[in-house]
Amino acid sequence: MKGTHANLSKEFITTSDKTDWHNDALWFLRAKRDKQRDTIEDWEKLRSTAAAIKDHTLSRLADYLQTFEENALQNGMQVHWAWDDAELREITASILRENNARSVVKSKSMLTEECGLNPYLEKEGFDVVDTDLGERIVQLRKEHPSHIVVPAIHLKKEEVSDTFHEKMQTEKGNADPGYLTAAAREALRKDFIKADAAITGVNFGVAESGAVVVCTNEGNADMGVHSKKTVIHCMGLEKLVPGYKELAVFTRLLARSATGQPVTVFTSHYRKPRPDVKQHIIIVNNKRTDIYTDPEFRQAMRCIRCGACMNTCPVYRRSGGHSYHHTVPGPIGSVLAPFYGKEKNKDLPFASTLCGSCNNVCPVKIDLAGLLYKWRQKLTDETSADTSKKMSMQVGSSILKSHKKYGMVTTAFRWVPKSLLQSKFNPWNSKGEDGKKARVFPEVPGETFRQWYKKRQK
Amino acid sequence: MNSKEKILDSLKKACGDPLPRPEIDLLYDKTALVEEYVRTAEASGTEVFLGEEENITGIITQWSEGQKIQSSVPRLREKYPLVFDEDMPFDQDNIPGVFVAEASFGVVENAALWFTDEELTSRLLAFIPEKLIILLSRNHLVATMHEAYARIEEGKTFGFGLFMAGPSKTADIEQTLVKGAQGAKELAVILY
Ligand code: SF4
Repeated sequence: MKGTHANLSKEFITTSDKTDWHNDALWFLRAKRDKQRDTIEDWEKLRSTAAAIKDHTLSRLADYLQTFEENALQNGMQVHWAWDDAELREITASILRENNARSVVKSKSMLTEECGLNPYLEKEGFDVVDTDLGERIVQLRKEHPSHIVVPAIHLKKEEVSDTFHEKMQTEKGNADPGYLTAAAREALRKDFIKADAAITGVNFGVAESGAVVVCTNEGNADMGVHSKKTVIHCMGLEKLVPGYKELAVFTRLLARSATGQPVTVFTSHYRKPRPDVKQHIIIVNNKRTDIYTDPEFRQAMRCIRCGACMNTCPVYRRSGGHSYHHTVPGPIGSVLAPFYGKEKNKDLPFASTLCGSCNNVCPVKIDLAGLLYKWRQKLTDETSADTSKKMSMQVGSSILKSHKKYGMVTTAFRWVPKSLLQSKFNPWNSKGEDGKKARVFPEVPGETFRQWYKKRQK
Repeated sequence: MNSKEKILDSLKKACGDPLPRPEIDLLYDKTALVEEYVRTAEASGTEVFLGEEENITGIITQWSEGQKIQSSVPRLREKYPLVFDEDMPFDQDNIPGVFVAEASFGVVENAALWFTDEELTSRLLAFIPEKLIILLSRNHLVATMHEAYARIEEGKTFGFGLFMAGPSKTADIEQTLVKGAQGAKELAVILY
């Protein structure tokens, strides 16, 4: 049973220092988001408007994609369509080859991460440098982003310092974030100078104007786009909004929900290429049409990838993004993951308490908890069950169905010695790195609830 | 079928009845207050100077601390000639130490400033200098992004359009906010 969420989170959970710290770091973002929410009178209506806009756009998605393409072409952009991840990789590589580009600077894009673009380009002999600081850190460490907005949220500054010392010869032991950021800026400036082409993700595509909109805080996307002659924007097909009027709603919601800023520092609208520049837009499907076709799950395509559902999720906060073994972690990731492999991702919809906190923060009001619940039922029917889980479910159901059996078992349970319950034979217990117990099975009270209740009644 | 046809075909088959385009009908204060703009701008890490047309160059000189100044603002170009060359974007001799531009308008709710190719002349100039000074007329403030995009829609079409709200920043290392990630390290606005 390796590779499941529960197993992958084990290490993260047992180093309780880090769990608490990670939990607090994400809650900090959630709290900042709440502050921003409180500055907007009509926040709830803003959310429902955003959801309605997305539903409208999705209901006419084919038309809007065509309008978008027509306008983009008229603006001088080149438009490509990729059915799946392989086609995105091939189109990108062939554009780079046609333009004799060997090295690329790339700004944040979960889509290219999902499509395995970096490893492919590297295998084909291209140099790829991720320029978002968080992504650069995980790239240098040969890891994957653990969060879609703050990719290096799982790392402590000392870990970043060690990585930079090894890869960029920064001072050993200097973990000052200002110092490390300045070092990265300097190194990345050289990469910007050297690169032949720039690749970006896309936050929004505006159908009526043919513009692609990219939001960053660092300005890294623009450093590449405005200095290179070959530019590629990779856009998931769900990123469209009808026009600027609608874009206004999303620019008000995105950063507030994501990091608790009123707006990202840079919101760049790319419409026409500079003279002599070849600017491409690749519209990518990669299973989005499958999600679209499923009436129950189509609402998941409203997602604007703000990360708010991760920041608030009690399971995500305590288990870390890497435990989800899918490009997009957290509640929305667990809703999307089964579309990319039911058997392989069947555990993910269970990595949730269904508390519904994600529903409350999602700026486009996706019923995340409801969709996770739906997956649980579907996946239990449609995938193989673990024998141990199946058996325990059967035993559990037979006990819970009968009053008598339930009474017997709960009374008998009290005779199991504490030394056994709190021993290493009980998988509930775990040890931390320091060898101390990190999680211990709680003491069992001497009487059952029923017994206690009866006594009080007297 | 090529991929485009395949995608459009799958979407058309499944789309169902089209839903109406929703009205955007929200309640909020539509007055654009200067004090409120100053508050959001300062919160974004922008330094705000309240100036008058006459003392703009005085503020620029003082804030620039002797660095090379270039400007795309027509009335300031003679004083601060623009030598930046888009074809050699990383040539240190051409990059301004301080770049002065005029924003088309500013948004009160989030301190975002709107620029197009017209105001920037070179797109990279909004990102590559270490310091930016932006002129913003008090008469060019709007309350929210709704008014902002209405204005953009009415205005001339553009090739590149940018909202900038504060100096470049990152909090990617342990949530510690650091100014000057990739773009300008400092941003000042002269509100006149
Ligand atoms: S599901 Fe909602 S909260 Fe989660 S990332 Fe998407 S838009 Fe944000």
